[in-house]
Amino acid sequence: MLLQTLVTGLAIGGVYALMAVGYSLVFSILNFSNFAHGVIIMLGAYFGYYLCSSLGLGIGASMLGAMIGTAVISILNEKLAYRPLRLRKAVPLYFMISAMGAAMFLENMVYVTVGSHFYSYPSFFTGSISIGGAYVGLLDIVALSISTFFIILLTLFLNKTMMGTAIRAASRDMLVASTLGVNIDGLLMVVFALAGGFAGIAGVFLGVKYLVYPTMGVITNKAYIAAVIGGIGSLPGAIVGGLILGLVESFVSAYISTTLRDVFSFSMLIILLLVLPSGLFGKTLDEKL
Amino acid sequence: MLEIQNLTVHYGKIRALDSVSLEVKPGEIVSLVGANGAGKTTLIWTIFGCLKPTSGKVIFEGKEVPAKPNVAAKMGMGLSPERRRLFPNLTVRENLRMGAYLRKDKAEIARDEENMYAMFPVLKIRYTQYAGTLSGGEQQMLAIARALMCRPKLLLLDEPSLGLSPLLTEQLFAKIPEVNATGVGILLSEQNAFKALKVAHRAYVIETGTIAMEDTPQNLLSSDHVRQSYLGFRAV
Repeated sequence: MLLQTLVTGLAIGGVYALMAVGYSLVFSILNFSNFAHGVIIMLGAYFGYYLCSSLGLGIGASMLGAMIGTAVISILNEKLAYRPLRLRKAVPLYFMISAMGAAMFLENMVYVTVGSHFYSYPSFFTGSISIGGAYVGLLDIVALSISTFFIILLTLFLNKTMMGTAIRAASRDMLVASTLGVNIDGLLMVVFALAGGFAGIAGVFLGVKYLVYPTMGVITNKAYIAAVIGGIGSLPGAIVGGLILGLVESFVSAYISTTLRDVFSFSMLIILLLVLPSGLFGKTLDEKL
Repeated sequence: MLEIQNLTVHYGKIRALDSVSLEVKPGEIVSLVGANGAGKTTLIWTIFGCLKPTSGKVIFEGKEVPAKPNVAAKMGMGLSPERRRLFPNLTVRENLRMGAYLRKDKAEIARDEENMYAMFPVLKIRYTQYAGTLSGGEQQMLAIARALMCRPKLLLLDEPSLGLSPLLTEQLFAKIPEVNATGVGILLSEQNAFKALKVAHRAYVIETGTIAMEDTPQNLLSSDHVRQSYLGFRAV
């Protein structure tokens, strides 16, 4: 029971982390909460669903296709909804409102084109394996491994490549980064492609585990909580926040009550913010004069 | 190499620069002297394409500089901004590497990095530390080194003495002719008029958004107006 709950918690946490990373990446550069991210995750679930059920692709190819699809949508989202605001030097509030508008637009596009039906993925990874007497779902193990893999890849990219260094630099001072030759439009394309790609993977996992429907983006509110718990704008924060949230939910469901699960998550958020207003790894201003 | 023609800049309705013209010739150190709020930093940011002028032009090596800072960098300008503005979450070394963002010549970048450590030895000691942990003087050295890492033809230095002790200011200003000797033109914007005039070949005095005087440092240092307004001498 303990091991099983732990793995389930880590697996959900890993998917939360994938989603939280997208919120945090965008927040770290543009300083606003990209509420269109949840809808992009939903679109990822649809892309994956059509690729595997209509085209009959395998789960790997479907996931890759979903990633590419959501990366493109995410880039377009930036170019159409945020770039015009950037060029006018708008304050973050306007970006957030624009994000909400983009979310509503995309969600309604799904209603108009696909409809409000619920779809379920073909069965993938339904088995479970026994580790030390406990049965651990295969899907959980796959989700955990793939999230870990991509998060490691992202961490390496941000820390070891010149583009990654530029993203970290721009997260503190976009103007000065541009005076060193960084093309901000290009940099944001990379950032939104990354956030979108991660949204695609998360969307496919959510689709396989639960169902696919237009308002499934609401689940991603949890990922936003994870990002805030970790300290929004911080990458390690998003990962740790996601894992903590996943573990808390899985242990509360297993040992206390499934219905109390969300009460615990939200209470945890409120208490944490009272104690640490900028989250666990939040940005601090440490400029010296 | 740098020519500014009748540059006017507004912040909303407020006019920050009014028809400013200025020139930096190849290999020159030109100082821009003026009080707080005179428009020095506005002028520097506008030259680099970070602010869009209402009218007027910035011409660098015969080409107009667009209002895009990354293009200004590509054209061969380097900026050490006011208040340093390092990336505090990056190490000293990563800050230097960011300076060389546009360059692809790995071996040359590594050599320039060593040159920077030779010029500012304290950076060598601190190269794995986050820039946010450096002292004010070290940060200023890093800001200049970061700007030099792009191998600029023209270096814009904005208020390098800000927040530094007189001793550190002295040491830092000694580096300016050193950098200039490698063939880099320098436009130095500085409140410390005496220091800025001592190091320059030519200087401009900027007052409430317009160029009030242009002359050699010797002439400016002996002008009554400069002596009274900027060097603290009383009228006789």
